[in-house]
Amino acid sequence: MTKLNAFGHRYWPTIALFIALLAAWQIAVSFSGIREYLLPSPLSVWHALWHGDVAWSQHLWVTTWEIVGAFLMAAGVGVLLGTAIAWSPMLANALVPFLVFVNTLPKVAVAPLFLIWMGYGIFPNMLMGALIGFFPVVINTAVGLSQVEADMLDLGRVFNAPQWKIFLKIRIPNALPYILSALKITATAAVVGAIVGEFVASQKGLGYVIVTTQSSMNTSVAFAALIWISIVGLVLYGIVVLLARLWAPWAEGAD
Amino acid sequence: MRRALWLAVATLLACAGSASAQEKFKFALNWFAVGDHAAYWVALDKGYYKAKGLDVTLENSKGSGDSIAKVDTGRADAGLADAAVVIASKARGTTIKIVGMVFDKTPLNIFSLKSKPLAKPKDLEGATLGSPPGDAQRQMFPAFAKLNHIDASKVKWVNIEPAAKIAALAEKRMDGVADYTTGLPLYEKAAGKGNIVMMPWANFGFDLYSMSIMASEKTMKERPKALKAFLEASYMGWRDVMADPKAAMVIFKKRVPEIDVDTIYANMLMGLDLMKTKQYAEHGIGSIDDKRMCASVDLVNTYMGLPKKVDCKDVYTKDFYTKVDMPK
Repeated sequence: MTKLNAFGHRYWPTIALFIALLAAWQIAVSFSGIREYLLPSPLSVWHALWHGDVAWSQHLWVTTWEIVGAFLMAAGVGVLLGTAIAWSPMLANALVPFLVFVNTLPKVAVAPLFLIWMGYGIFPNMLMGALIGFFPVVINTAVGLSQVEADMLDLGRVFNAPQWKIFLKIRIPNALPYILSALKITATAAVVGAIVGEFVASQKGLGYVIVTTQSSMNTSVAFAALIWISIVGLVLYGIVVLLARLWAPWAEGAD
Repeated sequence: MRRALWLAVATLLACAGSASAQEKFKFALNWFAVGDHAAYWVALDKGYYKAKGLDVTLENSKGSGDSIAKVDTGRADAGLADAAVVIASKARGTTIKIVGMVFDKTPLNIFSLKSKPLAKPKDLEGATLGSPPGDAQRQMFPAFAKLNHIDASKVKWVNIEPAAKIAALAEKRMDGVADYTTGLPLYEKAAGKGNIVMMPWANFGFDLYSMSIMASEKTMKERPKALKAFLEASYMGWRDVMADPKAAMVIFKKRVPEIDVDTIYANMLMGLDLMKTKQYAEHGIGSIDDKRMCASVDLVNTYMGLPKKVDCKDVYTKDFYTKVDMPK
């Protein structure tokens, strides 16, 4: 079977569903007489994507940077904190309640505060995305590092391995699938955070486009911006899946 | 004996009649509670709506765009919205019309801090201004710039959400923020009394209708009497607010307990200044001037980049307006 055949074989239900939804959308708009500014047709959104006078590449660049930065920050900080928690029960007791508190704060309420403390721009939006996405990484890192099979740890003891070697050779590989799984969530969270930040204050970006065009009731362009955002999110997610396949192939079950 | 019987029957009929004649009427306010909403609460509290057979509900919204969408889709019968946004929405297919005015003088304005004042239009060149993208100041800025001979390209605009406006200015995150003049008390509360500088566009030759009452095609066609009654009762509420603002404030606080009385009172008084004009004194509170309306439509057509031109006649109607005199 050629690669294309294999791809089609695996994904044809998804493609069929996608096409069916698009058709249903177009039919609904054509026959319900619903106003353009409430629900634009797929055709008008397509038009907005390619023929509108929005500088898509500029906005795409800004938002993508924010999302990537948010993702990397969340991943880095998340792994560090997770490691600290797994390493020392005392740190765990100190940190975990605080982190849970931070995680439960509604970020939409925090965003205006970010504006006051840091102003507007790419960095505050990166921070917002990181804030939303770091928690799953922390938890999964901690779990992955501590929940190791007893047999594996015994094996290490048998070989008289020092703690750091056990950490490096046994705990970290064990934690990898957990961490990568959490990063899939972080990919989505980074997108949400970046856009929330842009909604509150921005000069460029896909969130900026949505807010601007929504207020002038130019809904088809707002939809087009949403599509771009989903594409960026999907690409990031896809990268994480690929990394998972590369670094922890033994853990890849159904995906 | 017979007389008493007739009286009883008449009373019974009258009661039954008025009970069934209490039509439900939903009015979408444009925002959370602000000074210029007091009039409707006053009309409600004093029974003006009830006397005309209307059971009115007042509902908050998230801006003119939201109230327009509510009215256009039938989720509300009438509502408050900025005239420029109403005009622009006509180009996108809404079927609403302006049926009465609120502010007569334009409240468009730019706030800045005393530490870096933007007092004259020329000061705006090189400044960073914050505004929600839908605000009239943002959309109309090219017109203001042209009128006052400033280079619009030298002014930097940043999108901010409405809730972040005041804090953004108070914390010097931008040089100026676009907001109605009536907002002054709220800005002073955050930045300190005497620290806020205003640049009212009315002082620099700019004229545009702003806050207005609009209704849907459905309401105008199917419930014209109710709409007319609602408008008249509402302007009676305005009359009472103008005659005794303090009493109006008491009613407002009673109906909307979460408001800050001092700030909203000052806010309300500034709004009243925009209504004590010759036009209203002569033609009644909320009356629309045809020439000015068409001039506003022209401005929107020219500067707001609409997909198609809006015709002045489509935007408003005086059919539902009843003259309510301003108090002496």
